[in-house]
Amino acid sequence: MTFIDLIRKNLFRKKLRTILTVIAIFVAFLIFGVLATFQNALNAGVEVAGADRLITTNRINFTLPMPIAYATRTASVSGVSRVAHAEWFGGYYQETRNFLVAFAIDPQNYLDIYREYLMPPAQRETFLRDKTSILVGKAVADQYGWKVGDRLPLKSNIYRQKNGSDTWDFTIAGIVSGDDARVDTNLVMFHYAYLADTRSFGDGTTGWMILKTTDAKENARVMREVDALFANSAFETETKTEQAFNKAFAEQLGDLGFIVTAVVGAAFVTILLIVGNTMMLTVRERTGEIAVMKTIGFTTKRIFALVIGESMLLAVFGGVLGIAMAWLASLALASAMSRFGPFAFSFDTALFAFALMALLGLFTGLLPALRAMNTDVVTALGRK
Amino acid sequence: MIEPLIVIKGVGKRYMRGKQSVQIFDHLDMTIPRQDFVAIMGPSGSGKTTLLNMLGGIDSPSGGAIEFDGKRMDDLDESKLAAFRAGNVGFIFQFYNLMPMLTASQNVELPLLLTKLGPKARRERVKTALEIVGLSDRARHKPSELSGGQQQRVAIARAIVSDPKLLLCDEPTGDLDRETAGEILSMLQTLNRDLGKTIVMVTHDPEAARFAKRTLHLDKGHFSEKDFRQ
Repeated sequence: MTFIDLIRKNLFRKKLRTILTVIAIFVAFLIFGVLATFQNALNAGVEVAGADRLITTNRINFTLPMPIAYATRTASVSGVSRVAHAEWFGGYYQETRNFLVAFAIDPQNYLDIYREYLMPPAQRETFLRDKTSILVGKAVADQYGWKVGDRLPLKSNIYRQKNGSDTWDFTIAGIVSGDDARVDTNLVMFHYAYLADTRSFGDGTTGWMILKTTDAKENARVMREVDALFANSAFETETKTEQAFNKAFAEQLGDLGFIVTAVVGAAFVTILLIVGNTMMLTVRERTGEIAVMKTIGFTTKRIFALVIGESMLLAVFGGVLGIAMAWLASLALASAMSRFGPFAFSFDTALFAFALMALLGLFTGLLPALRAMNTDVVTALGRK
Repeated sequence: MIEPLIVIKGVGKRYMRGKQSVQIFDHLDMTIPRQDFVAIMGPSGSGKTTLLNMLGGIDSPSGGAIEFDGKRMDDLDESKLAAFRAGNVGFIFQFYNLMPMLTASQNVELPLLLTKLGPKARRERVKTALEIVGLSDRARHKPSELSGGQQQRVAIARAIVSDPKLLLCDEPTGDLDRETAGEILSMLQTLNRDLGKTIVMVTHDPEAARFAKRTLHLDKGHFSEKDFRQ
């Protein structure tokens, strides 16, 4: 027998009580794990945003268009090494509920700027060559079982073709993956030219521009100069860093950071009270036994360590189960939740969860451990 | 002349009951030689258990000095007293005070967790202790699966497993029938006679006191010696 065995045997002496407490901790960490993964998915765009990338949108609202000619003018600004533009297509596949993140892009420049999108060179070449081809992100390809060479009819909830059709036919040229798990591959990209040539309105306009700067230190100046270039025009612009743009985009859904913190915080305070109360009750019930242990020669420090060890083990046991279940849930939900971003359980979330387990164990065990430590042997033995 | 194991010099004990200070005894003197088996009797409230607690270092005197093996022990700090108890004293209680979630052998092993002995040495010590009390075949049983007498034997094994010089017994047969009590007291006699353990036993029962080498009566703060063996 070791001290760990002693802690374990103490913990499981009242199995039902321990199981109920473990379930409470399990639920708290499950909620934490799933919400943190959800938040990570929404923040993925912010985290992988290039430091040397800027986004220019219409000043009034980023959903409004700007002239395509702006791209050429912007490219002449000192410190800008490359400019691409993109348009929101409002695409869906077969039915409106099969919503897709679909961009009409300036292919060569866009892929040169977004080097985190990986695909075989042959697929890239095919895409650049064929105006009616489309690149499909791995997440969405997996979801629908699409393969290279498949014909893909996409509808738009914004545009109509000049011939009255709402459907654009594409051929899948490539499947795009990311160079990092956080890169969102829940998207499709096709030639802006194909859209521009066929749509019934919006001639000469695009949605937004992506600017690659020669040095991130130049960002502030470039942002000022680009916006100054189009000041007092019919289409004034607003330029932000890509990180700021993505963050603002994610926050359209509300301040998820606050929501996650509030929900998890409420769950943890509740669990703290439940576990703390259970530990206090447990120690109170064992007052006589603690006195006997002290009589045998256990020091107050050892008694303290035994109680803290028990609360730690309880927190880790429930916490690890909760986090493991959150990880499984993230795998199961990855496909369904991919529209919000790459829904993957992160190592950082697991690390943070372990820190929370340690804090939970410490806080819930502290008062009972102090009480156990200060048990008066003579009084406790006298009561037995 | 046998060297004394315990020497009590002018020990007093008072405690507060509400706002009132109560004196249990004052200027108590006593010498317990090595390998002695002394029973302490006396009316309720005479301070028998308090004296036993002070001998075991779990209660402190209000005045005077207690020496164990030639060294003052009443002025040791908490951690030194814990080490003193772990190394020198075995406690046997009226209600056994075993850990309900541990088996008999694990209960016996408990004091050895405080030593530097390895798992193998600890197992051997536990085995020997359980053999001494005749419970080798109950090693894997939990206290709830043992009779009162068997539980007290486990408690005795726990008390002797770290080979202490002194055994302190507080009404060790108070919760047992006459026959089982006789077995337990005979066992204490054997431990005293064959293993040389010094035993101090508090009891209300003159029959139990007969098993001791001598009996001290504590009443109104003073000792008087009686012989119940005849």
